[in-house]
Amino acid sequence: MARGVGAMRRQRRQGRAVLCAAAALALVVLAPSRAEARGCREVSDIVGEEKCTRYGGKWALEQEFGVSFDFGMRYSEISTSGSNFTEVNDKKGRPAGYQTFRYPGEALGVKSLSALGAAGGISLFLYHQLYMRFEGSLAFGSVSTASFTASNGVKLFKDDGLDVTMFQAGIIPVGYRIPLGRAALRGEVLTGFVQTQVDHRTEAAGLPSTVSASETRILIEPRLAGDIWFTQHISFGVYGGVNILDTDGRGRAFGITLAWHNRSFDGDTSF
Amino acid sequence: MRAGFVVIACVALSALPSLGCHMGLAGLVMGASDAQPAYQSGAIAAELGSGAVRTLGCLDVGLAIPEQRALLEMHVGNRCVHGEPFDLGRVVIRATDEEGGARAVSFVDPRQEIVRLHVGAMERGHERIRLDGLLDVARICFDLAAAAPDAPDARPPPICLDRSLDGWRAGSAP
Repeated sequence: MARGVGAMRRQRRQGRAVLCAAAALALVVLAPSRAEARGCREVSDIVGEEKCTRYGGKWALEQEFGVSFDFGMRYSEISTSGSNFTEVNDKKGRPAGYQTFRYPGEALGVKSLSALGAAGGISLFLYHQLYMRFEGSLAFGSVSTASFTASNGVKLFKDDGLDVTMFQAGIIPVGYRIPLGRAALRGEVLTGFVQTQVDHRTEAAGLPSTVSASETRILIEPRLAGDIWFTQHISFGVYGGVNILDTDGRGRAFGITLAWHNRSFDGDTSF
Repeated sequence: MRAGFVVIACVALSALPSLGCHMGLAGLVMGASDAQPAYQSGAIAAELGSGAVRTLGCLDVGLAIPEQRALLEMHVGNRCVHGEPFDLGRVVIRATDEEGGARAVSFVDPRQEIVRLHVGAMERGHERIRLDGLLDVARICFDLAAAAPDAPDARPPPICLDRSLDGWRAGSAP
């Protein structure tokens, strides 16, 4: 139990670090625009001597940085076929000579694992509507796994509660947004990884009552997304994608996002 | 706009109860919340009076000269959901003194900043630009016809401002 909880805490810390970094970056990026918003200000004791902001600095698209931040929910599935899980073993609470267990994903007795959780990301616009993006998510799920014997002879049973944890992080090297007035379509390919952890109950002597096994796999997820603008700076979006490395078609993800955009309508100037 | 960020904050905080970092998210929300509200058609005319505002395609442009100051207050609002080009540098200024003699008035722009720029969709812009040569001017007209390159068919009459005892007032176009 302690190991499972410890691993989960580590993953939560990872997720927390990603989100804190995104929030800190957001503050750094936004700080100049707050300063510019002050307009002219007196710079000496001579009445009327002012230092002014650059022409267009507050309203011209050319002088605003193309960045957006979003938070939302992500549901994702991965196939168990072809995967290999390895025990999360930090050697504490294990008997001497204990061998870390492994098992193939098929041993879980289910075709896929799924999880739902929180996600966040930051998009940087490179040229017109071409952007790159960083994102991460931490999701939890529950699965009715089979009871089976792992490679080291330990019998593993289904654990209660949220026994699936997925931590996903990745980068979209390039994506493109097609503006459609108050709506938009986006096409993008996420590349990254997803770490999946499954908790099991054990009854073996000398082992904690709950142990965990994890698997990390590469994620290449082409996506289609759609956005609706609530205001010129806030949009709501949905997306769906598949992990093309999961060849049985079960690696897929859906998400919803609420995003804040520094440039109105992401700087769109098309008709 | 602030309401929108409250929504974002609520979603973020409710979605991430186990992740912490709430202070960082709150900072993000606060930092972003000083953005302007969406521009509403007619908002500039309501402030300056319709005589001091012209419509050029998607753009509403309003001009005023504050009392006792050689400054042009320029307001621009974009009613469309896409950015629109606006080139204040192409505005033609015609000024006359009390006797009707022509006077040369120009923008003070030592860094050549006044160039064609795009007004963001549903955004509103405001600038104060110093005017050179305004001292003896009794009437000044700004012809905006060439200021909106994407609205070539717009032929608005110039905005004319007349000097009076209590400041500059929008007058009739010539």
